Amino acid sequence: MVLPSVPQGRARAPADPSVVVSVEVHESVVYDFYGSSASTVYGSVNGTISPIDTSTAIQVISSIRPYSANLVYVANGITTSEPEAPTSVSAQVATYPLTLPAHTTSFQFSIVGSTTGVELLWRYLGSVPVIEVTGLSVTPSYATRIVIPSGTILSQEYGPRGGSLPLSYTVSPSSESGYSSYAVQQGVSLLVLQSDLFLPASIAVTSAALVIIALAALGLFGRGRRILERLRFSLLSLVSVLHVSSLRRLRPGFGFRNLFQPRKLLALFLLCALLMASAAAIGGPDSRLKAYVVADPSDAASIQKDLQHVAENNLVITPAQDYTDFAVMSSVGQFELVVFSSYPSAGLAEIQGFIVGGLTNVPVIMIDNSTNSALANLVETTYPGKFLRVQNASALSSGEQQELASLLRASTRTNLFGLNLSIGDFDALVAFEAVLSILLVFIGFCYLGSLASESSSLTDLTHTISVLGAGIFVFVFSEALYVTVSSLLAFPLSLHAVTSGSHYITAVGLLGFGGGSTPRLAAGFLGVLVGVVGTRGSPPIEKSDLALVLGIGLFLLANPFSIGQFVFQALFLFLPLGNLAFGAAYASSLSLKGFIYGVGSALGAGVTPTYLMSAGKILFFAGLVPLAYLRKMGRTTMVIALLLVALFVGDGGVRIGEMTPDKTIVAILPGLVVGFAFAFLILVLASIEKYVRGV
Amino acid sequence: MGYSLLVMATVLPEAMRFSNVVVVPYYLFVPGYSVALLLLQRGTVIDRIFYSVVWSMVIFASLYSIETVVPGSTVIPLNVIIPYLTIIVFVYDHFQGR
Repeated sequence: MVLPSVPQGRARAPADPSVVVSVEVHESVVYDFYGSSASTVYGSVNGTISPIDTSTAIQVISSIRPYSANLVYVANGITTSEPEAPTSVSAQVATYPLTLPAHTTSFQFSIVGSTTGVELLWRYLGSVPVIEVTGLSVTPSYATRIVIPSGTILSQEYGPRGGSLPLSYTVSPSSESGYSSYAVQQGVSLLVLQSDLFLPASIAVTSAALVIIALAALGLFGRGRRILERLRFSLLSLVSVLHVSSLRRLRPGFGFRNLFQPRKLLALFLLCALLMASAAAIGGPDSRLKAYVVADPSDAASIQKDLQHVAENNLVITPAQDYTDFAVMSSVGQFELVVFSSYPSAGLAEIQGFIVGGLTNVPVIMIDNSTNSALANLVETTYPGKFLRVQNASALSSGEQQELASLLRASTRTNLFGLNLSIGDFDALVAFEAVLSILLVFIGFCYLGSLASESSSLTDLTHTISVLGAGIFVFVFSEALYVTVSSLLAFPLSLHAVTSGSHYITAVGLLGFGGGSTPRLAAGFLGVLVGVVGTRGSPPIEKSDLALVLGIGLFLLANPFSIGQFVFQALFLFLPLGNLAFGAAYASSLSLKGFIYGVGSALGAGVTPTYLMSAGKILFFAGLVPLAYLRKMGRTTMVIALLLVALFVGDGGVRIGEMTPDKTIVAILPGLVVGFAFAFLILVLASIEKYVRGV
Repeated sequence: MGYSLLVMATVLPEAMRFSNVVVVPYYLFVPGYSVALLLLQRGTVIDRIFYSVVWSMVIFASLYSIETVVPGSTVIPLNVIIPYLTIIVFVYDHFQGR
C-alpha cells in the first residue's frame, strides 16, 4: 500500500486543517473448518494543521498489533521522520503518545501491524482494527478499506459492540492482481466473508439435511415405520444372502461399559480427587519466587533479572499476561511478592481496581520511587506491615536486596516432606495435575449423566432430588478441590478469564490451554453425553431420533439464511475463537443472561459484592434439572434435551476453575429455579412429542 | 379460584388497609400446584407439596426476572399476573378432565 505523501518544502500557506484516519486490512482469507490466521494492516493518521508556536501533544490509540510505527512531520519547512514505540500494549490496544513540535504544518503517523481473523465452518470472520486520535482540535475523518481475494463475498457486517449493521460497501479493483478493495462504512468492526461457492454448497448441504430429517421423521409415524421396516427387512435378507451377517461375530465385547454405573463413577471421581490432592501435597509448593510486577513492559525483564540476586529461580507475571484474575491467583498463594514501579498511566486505573484488593493475600509488596504517587500512598496506608520502599526496582541496592530477602524468608513456604523438586520435575507434576483436573470434570459429569439415566426403582421425586444433590456435590467438591490443589501447589490449576494464552500462569496453561476453559467445557460436555449413553439400562437412543436431531443440526449449521447466521453467531459464544460475540445470537445470550440475573436477584443473589452472581454457575445448576427429567421425556425430546443439558452443564462447569466459592453459594438456588423453568419448556415439548406419537 | 381473585384484589388501594398476610401461603403453594396438576405430578403428599413450592418459586422468580428484562412490563403488577395465569391453568386442568 502507498501511503499519502507528507507535503514537502519550505513554509507555504497552510491548507485547511484536516485529519484523515485510514485503515487498510489485507485479509488473509482462509476457509477452514476451524482456526485462526493473521492479516496485515496498514494504518495511518494524516494531518494538515495550523502552525502554532508551541508543541502539540497528541495520542493515538490503536487496536492494530504493531510491527512498526513511524511519525513524519513537517515543521519550519523541514521534514523529520522518527520511529515510534507504544508506551503501553495490552491485549486489546497500543497507545502512542506523540509530540508535534512548534510550527508543524503537516504530519503523518503510520503503523504497520496485524490483526487476527478466525475461520469457522468454511466462513471467515475478519476484524477491522480501529485508530483513535485525541489532542487535536480538528475532527478526523475516517476511511476504512479491506482488500480481499476475488471470488470472496462480504456477507455480513457488525459494529464494535456486536450489533448487526446493514451491508454497505463500494468495491473497486485493488492494485494487487487477483484482489478487490472494499470501502466499508465507519464503525464496522467485524466482517463475515465467504467464498462465492458457499451459497450453492450450503443449499446442497441444507437440502441433504432436509432429506435426512424427512426420512427420520418418517420413522416417527406408524406408517413411515412400516415402510422403513420393510426396507430394513429387504436389506437384511440381501445381507444374509451375501453371508455378511457373519461379520457380526467380530463385534468386540464392550467390557469397560461395566464401569458406567453411578457408584463406580463416583468412586473413580473421588479417587481422582484424592490422587490430585495427595500429589499436590507431596510435590508442592512451587519453590520458585513468583512475583507479580506492575511496571512498564520494557522494565519487567530488568526487574526479573534484578530479582535473581534475591532468588535465583524466579517467575515474573505481568498485567499484560493477566490482571482480572489477580484476586484468585493471589488467594491461592501464587505470589510471594508484588512489585510496583512506573506503569503507563493510561492503563493503571483499570488494573489498579483488580489488584489492590488482592494484595491482602501477598506477603511482601515492593514499591519504587517511580510508582504513581497516589497508588503508592494507597498501598502504603492499606498494607503498612508488608511494605518495602526502594529507589529503583530495576536496580536494587545490596541493602535493599538483603531487606527483601529477609522479608521473603519470613513468608517462604516449604515442602511438607522436605522434597526439593527441580523446576522441570515440578512442571511435570503440575502438568500431571492439569490432566487430572480435566479428567476429574469428565468423570464427575459422567457420574451425573449416569445417575440421571440409570434405571432405578426410585420415585420421580427421589430420583430428581438425588440427581440435583449429586450435581451440587460434584460442582462444590470439584471447586473445593481446585482451590485445595492450587493452594498446595501455589499455582492455580486454572483460571476463568486469563487475558492471554500465557503458559506460566496456570497448570493447564502448561498444556497450552491458557486458562483451561476450553478443555473443561469439552470434558463436561462429553462427560454428560458419555454418562447418559453409556450407562446400562439407560433410555435407548434410537437411530432414527439421532438422525432426526443430527439432520436438524446439519440444517441449522449449513443453512445460508438468517437462521443459519444465528447458529453461526451462537457457535462463537461457546468456542474459544478470539472472544468474539456478535449478532442476534449474542443479543439473545444477553437476554438469557438478563433473565438468569433477574431470577438470581429475586432470590437474594448479588445483593452485596460479597455474593456476586455468576451466570455460568447458575447455568450449571440449571442444567441439572432437565438432566434429572431425561427419563421422563419422549425419545426425540430426550436427544434434544440431552444435547442442550450437556451444553449448559458443560459451559457452566467451566466455572469450577474460577475458584470463587462465594459465587457458587449464591448460584445454587437460582440455578435450580432457572432449571425448573427450562425443564417446564422441555416437558411441554415432550408432551407434544407424546401426542404426535400417540403414546 | 376465589383465592386467586382475592389475591388479585390486593392490587386495589383499599387493600392496603388490611394485612396482606393472606397472600403469603398463596404465593407459596397455589400457582405451583396448578402447574403440578398440569404436568401430572400428583404422587404422594410430599411430592405434591414439593412440586407446588418449586413451581411457585419458578413462576414468581421467572416473572419477576422477565419484568426486569422487558421494558414496560412492570405496568401489570405481579399480584395480578400470577393469579391470572393460575386461574387459566386451573381452568385448563379442570376441562382437560385428567
